[in-house]
Amino acid sequence: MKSKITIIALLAVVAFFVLLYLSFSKVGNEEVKKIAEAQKLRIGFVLLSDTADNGWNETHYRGIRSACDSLGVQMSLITEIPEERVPLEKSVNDMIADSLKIIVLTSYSYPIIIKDIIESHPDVMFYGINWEFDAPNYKAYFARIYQARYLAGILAGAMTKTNHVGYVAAMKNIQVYRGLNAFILGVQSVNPKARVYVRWTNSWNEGEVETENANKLIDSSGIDVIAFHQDRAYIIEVAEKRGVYCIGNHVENNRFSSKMLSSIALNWGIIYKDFIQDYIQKKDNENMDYWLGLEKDAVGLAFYSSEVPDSVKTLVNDAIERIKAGYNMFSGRIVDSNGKVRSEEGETISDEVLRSDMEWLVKGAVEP
Amino acid sequence: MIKKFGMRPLIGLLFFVLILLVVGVLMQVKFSSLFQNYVEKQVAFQAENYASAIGERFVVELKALAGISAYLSADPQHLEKMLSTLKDGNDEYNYGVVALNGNHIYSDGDQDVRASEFKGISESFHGSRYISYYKGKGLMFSVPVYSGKNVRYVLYRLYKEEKAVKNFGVVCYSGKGYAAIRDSRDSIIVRSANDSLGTDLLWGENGYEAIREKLKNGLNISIATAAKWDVDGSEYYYFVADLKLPGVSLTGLVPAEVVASEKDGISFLILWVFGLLIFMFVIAMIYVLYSERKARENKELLREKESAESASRAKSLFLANMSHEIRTPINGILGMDSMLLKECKDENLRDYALNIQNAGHTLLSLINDILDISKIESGKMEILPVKYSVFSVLSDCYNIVSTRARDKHLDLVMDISPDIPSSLFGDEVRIKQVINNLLSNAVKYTNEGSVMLSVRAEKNNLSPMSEKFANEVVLCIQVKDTGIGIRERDRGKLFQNFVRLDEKRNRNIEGTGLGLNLTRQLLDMMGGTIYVDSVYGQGSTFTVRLLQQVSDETPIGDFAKLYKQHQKTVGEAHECFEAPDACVLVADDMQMNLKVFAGLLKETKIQIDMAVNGAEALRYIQKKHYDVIFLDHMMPVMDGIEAFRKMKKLEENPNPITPVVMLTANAVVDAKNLYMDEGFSDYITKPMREEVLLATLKKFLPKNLIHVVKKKTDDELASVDPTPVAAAPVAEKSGAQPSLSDFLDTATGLAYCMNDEKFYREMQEEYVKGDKTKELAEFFEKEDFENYRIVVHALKSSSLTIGATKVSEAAKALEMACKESNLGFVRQNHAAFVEKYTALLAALKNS
Repeated sequence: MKSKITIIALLAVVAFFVLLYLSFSKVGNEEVKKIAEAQKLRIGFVLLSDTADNGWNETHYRGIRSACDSLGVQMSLITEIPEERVPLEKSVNDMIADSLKIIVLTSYSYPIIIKDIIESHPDVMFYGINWEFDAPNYKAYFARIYQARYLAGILAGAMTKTNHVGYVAAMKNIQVYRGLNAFILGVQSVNPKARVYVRWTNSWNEGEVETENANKLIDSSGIDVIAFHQDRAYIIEVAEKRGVYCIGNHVENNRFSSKMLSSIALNWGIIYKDFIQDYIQKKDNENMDYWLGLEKDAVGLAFYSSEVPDSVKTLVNDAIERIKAGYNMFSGRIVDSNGKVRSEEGETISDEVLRSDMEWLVKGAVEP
Repeated sequence: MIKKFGMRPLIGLLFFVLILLVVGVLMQVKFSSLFQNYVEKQVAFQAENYASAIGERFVVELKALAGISAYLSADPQHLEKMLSTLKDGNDEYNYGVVALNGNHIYSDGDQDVRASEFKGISESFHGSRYISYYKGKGLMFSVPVYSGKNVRYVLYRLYKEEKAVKNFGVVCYSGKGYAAIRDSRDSIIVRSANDSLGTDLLWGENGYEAIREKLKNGLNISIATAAKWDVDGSEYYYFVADLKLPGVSLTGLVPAEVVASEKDGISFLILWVFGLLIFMFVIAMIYVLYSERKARENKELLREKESAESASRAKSLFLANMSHEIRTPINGILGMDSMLLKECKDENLRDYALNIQNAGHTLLSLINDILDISKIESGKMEILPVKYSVFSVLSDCYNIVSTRARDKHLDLVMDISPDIPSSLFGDEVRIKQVINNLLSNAVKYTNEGSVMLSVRAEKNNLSPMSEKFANEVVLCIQVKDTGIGIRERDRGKLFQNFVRLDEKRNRNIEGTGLGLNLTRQLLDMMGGTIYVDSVYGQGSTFTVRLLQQVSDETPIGDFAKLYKQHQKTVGEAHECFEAPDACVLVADDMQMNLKVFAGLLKETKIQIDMAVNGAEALRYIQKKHYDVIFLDHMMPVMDGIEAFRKMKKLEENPNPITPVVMLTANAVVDAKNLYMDEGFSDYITKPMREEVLLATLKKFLPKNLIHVVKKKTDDELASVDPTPVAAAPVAEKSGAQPSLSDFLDTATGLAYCMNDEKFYREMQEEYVKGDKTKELAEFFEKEDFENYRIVVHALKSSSLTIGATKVSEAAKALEMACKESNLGFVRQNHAAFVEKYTALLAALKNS
């Protein structure tokens, strides 16, 4: 009896120390907890169409995936939200109600459409690809895709035989103008005689309109190379049918013929990781700039078709090196299609203008 | 220890100590990692602060430059003039303005700046503010200079390398740490202020490179991170903190001893505390084991003590039972003997019967003493105070002792103070017992002279203020004798059990040595005290003081007068009677008791029915009417009380109102109440005494059945005279010379002569022939006390043989004196002795 009591007392003492040790272990797990907390962080993404559109949204999705995976955070996707107030408002409100604290709007006009919602939720951080809007809880990010379009321009300028290059553009907004201007400058940099024929579809994602415009350019403007700024690959199919050279948009693997010379490529992952990490680190956004380009390999050309000769490749690669070294294609004397001088000799057009003040076409663009 | 407690607890102890040690080591490890985490966190936090501070400075620098650029943009004409005024006097930095083609528009030093070397220039042509570094040339802050919205030039401020370190180098941990600012490609742009730790060892493959990935991962979740790393045997905390500028971070390290110097101290403390705990634990364990053992031992001791106590209780119980069992046959003997005394006409036989009676009573009192002692020892003795008459107590005592005193020719003096309250409240039985004991002791040990009982009542003055004691007196009982006395050294042993003093000298005196001890114990229980005062050889005085409550304050008056009166009444009560028409029933399981009962009532001619148990008694009761029924308490089959209860319930009962008297050996006071409560009319204690039985019968028998008979003898009563009683002349026995009675105790003499009177006479004649007068005188005159002693020794024995006790005792005293060389005593008493001796011889010759 006595010895039983003694054993129980001893066991109690041991149990006490074990408990003490266990409670210590719990304290020690703070670091792990912090990581777990970060892993619990969910980031909302609103996408214009589905994640397999073989274009803009698919690239985005891939970038989102890789960024979230490498940071160990979770993503919450809402897809196929057109740039319209009602569905966008609903999806963003749903995300806020789901207690998401960081929402990424991946289409250009989204932030403008829900301005008031962004402003009325100062505790939620919004990211968009649009510098035309500003709020304390909003930060713009983007890739310097225009640099890749400049490269595409070089490719088109070098490959055209007719010196007529076609370009189907979507909306008349700064992003499209910027890309188009860079493309034209690229064409002109290697083929001063070449002219770029531009048709506007006023839509990101309408196959019929795009096809029609592409056909028109081929039929009436005599182009033999076509590039475009649309979400999907309808125009590539037209070009394949009609047998003209084509430069794709966000098509990373060539599933088409050798007529498709290359494609604009984008690595959203690098950019997403950049600003999501800053968010986690709670870095003050004031000094931060999320406009990454060639220098970080965030943009570029996806591949070269077998029809692209090495001389052309050299031309492109030289341009890449120049840009990486700091070359700005929007420098020197630049005149717009109306004859207005946009940049004097020795000047460069600043990023600020590129972001928010470029609604003109450089000289050499033809809008039939 | 192994011997003491065995192997098992020791193994247990070791086991738990081992567990404690393991837990302790685990705790130590855990603590180390906790502490490391804590330090890492602190270092990271510190790094963040450093990074934040340096980031602020960079931003301020860029803002200042942007301010200058704004002026230049607004007024490009005065560019040169304006910048020249800003030239740094300390020669820490230089300004420059670069055009797109790489040419300097302005430069205030001889610096060689190219766009290919300083990324900042091309970046600023995009419109950014930028910080860039080129090894050997310095740190450049660059901002665009606008022309409208386009960038026209780039303005820069270039710090020479060492100046950059001076201005922007991070001093961390009071210079004991190392912290360099790096760009996104991990190239240093500002070296540490303290460059001593920027060694290849620390930043090479085994150092920073090895934990770089870990730190980078840390940056995923926090702006700053730190990690401990061992490089070449020394511990360092590496840290990385991002500045709030794109691509710039602070990277550094600090030796562990700078940030974690307390670690060893705390580890030591933990070790110490754990050591102490284990030590205390071991001590506690040993203590527990030890006390467990002790407790076991104590238990055993307790058990032994209990068994000893129960053995002692068993002994007491056995004694009590034995005494009880012995009493029963003695009652029988005494009863039969009293009948013998009554009926025997032969003087000799009567004498034997008397001796039987004396021996029986002595035996009975011994048994009673043993019973009492065992009762006290077993804690069953109770003091039961009742209201009692002081006179009846004293007279009873007198009655008992006076006979014996008279037999020994002693004066029994009653010195009773007349102002004692007549009635007191206390334990009558026990007080009587105490007085009897003292008196009979005194008589026993006194050979000549007197025994005096003096009783006084003293007002209790212990606390006169208290109401409680107002009605109390201290009864002061004193028994004084002229006996042999008690030696000083023996007084302490006086009240011990079974101790008899002066064994040799007193071997002739009967007794067990229980009396005084019992007396003291009884007095203790009653709250009284006993004190003895004695002169050896001259006598003792026992003084008892006992507090008693007063029940009736009327003084008792003159005891002697009262006693005479009482004797008369008792005498009347003892008138003999005959009741041949009366019929009584007696039930007792002892045939002898029944015979005694019948024998005692033989002369009354009462018709007696006898039953041996309650059941049989009940059958008699149902059949016949009785005038009195006597029931014994303890009987087999059915006891007295049960029989009585059944009798009261009988439907056809010819004895509904017949008085029932309980016969009991249960001589306890509360037993009386018990029987009265049951409905008994009276009770008689056994052994039955004739007078009590007769008185009881007289009380309950119908008067018309009693015929008083003239007393045949009244010698027993007539001889009583309680005033200082000079021992009355001994009852004359056959064969004893009346003239000799002064000198001779015939009974003793006859006893020594086997009760053969003829032989007794021959002995007397022999005694006369052996006249020693001459020898005595001769030796006395010669003072030859050795021979004198031999002579008185011979006289002592021969005198006792013929019953000349007084001469014998005187001779004995002289012999003792000779032995002790107390010559004074011999000279003093010689003449008196010779006188007694010659008188005895003369009387014997005359007979």
